[in-house]
Amino acid sequence: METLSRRDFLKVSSAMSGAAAVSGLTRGALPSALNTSGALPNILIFVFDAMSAANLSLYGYARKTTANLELFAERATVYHQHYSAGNFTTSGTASLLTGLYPWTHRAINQSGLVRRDLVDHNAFRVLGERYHRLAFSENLWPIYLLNQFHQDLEEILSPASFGLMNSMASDQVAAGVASGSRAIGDLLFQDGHAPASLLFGVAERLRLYETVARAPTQDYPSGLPHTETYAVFFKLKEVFDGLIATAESLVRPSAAYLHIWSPHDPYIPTKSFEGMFLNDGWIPEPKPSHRLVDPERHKSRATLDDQRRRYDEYIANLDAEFGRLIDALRTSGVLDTSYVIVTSDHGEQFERGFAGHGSPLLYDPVVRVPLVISAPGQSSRRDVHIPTASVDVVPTLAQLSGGPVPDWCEGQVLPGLGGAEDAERSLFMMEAKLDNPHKPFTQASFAMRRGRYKLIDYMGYPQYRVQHRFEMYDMASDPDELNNIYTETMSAAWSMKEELLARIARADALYVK
Amino acid sequence: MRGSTATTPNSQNDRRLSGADVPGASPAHRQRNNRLKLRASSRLPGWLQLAQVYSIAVLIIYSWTILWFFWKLPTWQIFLTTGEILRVLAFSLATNMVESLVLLCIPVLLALILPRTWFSDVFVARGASLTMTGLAYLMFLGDQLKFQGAFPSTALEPWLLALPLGALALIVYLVGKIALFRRMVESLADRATIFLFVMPPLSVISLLVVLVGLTT
Repeated sequence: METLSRRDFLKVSSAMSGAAAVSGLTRGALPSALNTSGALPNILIFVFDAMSAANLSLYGYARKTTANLELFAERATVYHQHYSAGNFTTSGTASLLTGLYPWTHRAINQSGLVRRDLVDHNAFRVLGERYHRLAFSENLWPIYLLNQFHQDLEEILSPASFGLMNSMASDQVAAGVASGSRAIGDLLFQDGHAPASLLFGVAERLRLYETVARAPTQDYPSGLPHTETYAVFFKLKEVFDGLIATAESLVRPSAAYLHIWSPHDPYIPTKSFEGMFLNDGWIPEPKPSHRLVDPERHKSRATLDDQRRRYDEYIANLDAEFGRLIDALRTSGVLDTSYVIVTSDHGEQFERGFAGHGSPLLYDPVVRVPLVISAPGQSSRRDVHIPTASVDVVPTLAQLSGGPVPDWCEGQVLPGLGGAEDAERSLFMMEAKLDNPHKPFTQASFAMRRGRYKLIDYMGYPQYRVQHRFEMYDMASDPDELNNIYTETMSAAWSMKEELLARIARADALYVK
Repeated sequence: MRGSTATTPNSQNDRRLSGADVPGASPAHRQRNNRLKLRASSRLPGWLQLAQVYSIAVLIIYSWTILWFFWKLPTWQIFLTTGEILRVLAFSLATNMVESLVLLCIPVLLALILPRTWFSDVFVARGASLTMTGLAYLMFLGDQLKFQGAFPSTALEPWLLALPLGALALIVYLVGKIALFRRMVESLADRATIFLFVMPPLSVISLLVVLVGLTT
């Protein structure tokens, strides 16, 4: 049975036809990597959705949120200024998995997709068939992307694999059939509204209702954590039990992309973590409200601080489970034979009147994410302080797997893993979720990091009377991005602005008719 | 409107029954078997009646999905290709076909197990009204069990299940009992059959698209 992947099985059972059966058998062949005992180490990529580096004590945050991650970092390379190219799941994950900036892969809309002609530009293709390639995401939007790359994956696990209920629908969502998963996840069994499938959709909700109602919740007095794009109810402990079992069962060499919903909102920690920072006396530095924050979503300072506290508690809960995971991997020897990569698709902000992510803002809390990489046998910590980007992960995977770095990659091999330290290199972040991906950008935010400076360009927003509104910050002396020095550093600002606008124009050139 | 094919076994049924005797069984056993089969087949609605009830299920189930489809369409148009959108529609219509067939089984089953005068004799009126009210209830239930915010937004109290089911039973009863309602529902079901010339063929094409998509 091990030779037939879940996806193949689903295909066969779904199609209920001879043709499907034939297809399942032909696709069920063992990847060559499984038949060898090569020395390639496993690669485990843990992506914690919406985990901001700004809220991790690993990076100096005032609250002790990540004691276990810090322990793990003692034998790993820690990247202190690592940026996601996007500020929400789709664009951030797509850049992480393709090594391309959002203006190139064009997965810029919520639940959007990578440009169809770029689908073979992905991390799994780069790793190649030597690896058994497995992917899991509790979040539905990465599942849409993973389904695009299904030709390069041996296995895509259901988003509910480690949840409380694994239904037929959640299995089918990850079946590797892009249109099928869209129909099921985004229409027939859609959340947020009544399901479009009157019979099966409602039946599944009733079943979920029963499951949730029966689940013992003494650990979760505020209710069970759940995803939002496609409802998966879960307990963090069980998710990590599943991750441990998955990681330990991997046949070497394998590469696993494991995208965990937490600490994405709703922030629901277990009882023992709830309220742990309630009266700790720490008060975050206030920041002025931003003009581009939607007035309807504007939050008071008290609300922001309260949500931040809950987020921090959720991270601490997640960190405790992460510690258990690392202990298990250490005990089973997996840690000594694997590259373990810990990162996030985007951050989260609790400042300037906005809580969450996906707004037009590109300040550090929402784009600076953790990156910690442990190499097999690594025994000491290494810190990298120069800025790096999520598009660097794919070329680094190419390097780690011994293959060539594809020329289409827009990132570089990470320093510490074979790449050179280039402190003056330019990195980019962007947000354009309301724009048409097949047309030039009309309303978008771009940010650029070069050396000590960060330039932000708000383009086409009606709140500003100009087409481009720039902000610039000296990240070395002003890491909180409070003092806009755009007009004070004309030389650096001009040069960065020219480069950024040239990059945008180059990206748009393909779509100008 | 009420066809006679469901209440009177035709000659084909008779032939099938006589040929179904189990060799070696006692005459009394055979006789009892035949009686049961005769009773069941006499309660089975005719094709026309089935089509009329099925058309109501098709009308509501497909319309509901297609409405949501068009609600989503403006977003999808931004980042999905036309082919991808059509394939999503194909998956949805194929699912709708299975759903409507599953739903049809309920009135058919009721016709088989309930006394003939309760259901089978007024199959179109009661079957169609059951389908309509049942699906309306599912719409309500689906809306109550949303995943927005805390789930579920409404606690499923026993009355939330019992009351609508009681109302559903009452409506189905009244529709069969009151001639005016019965004629209205039968007339609607009769007119709805036009959708059977559109939706099921589309669903078959959709199913083929789905199967091709799954196997390639």
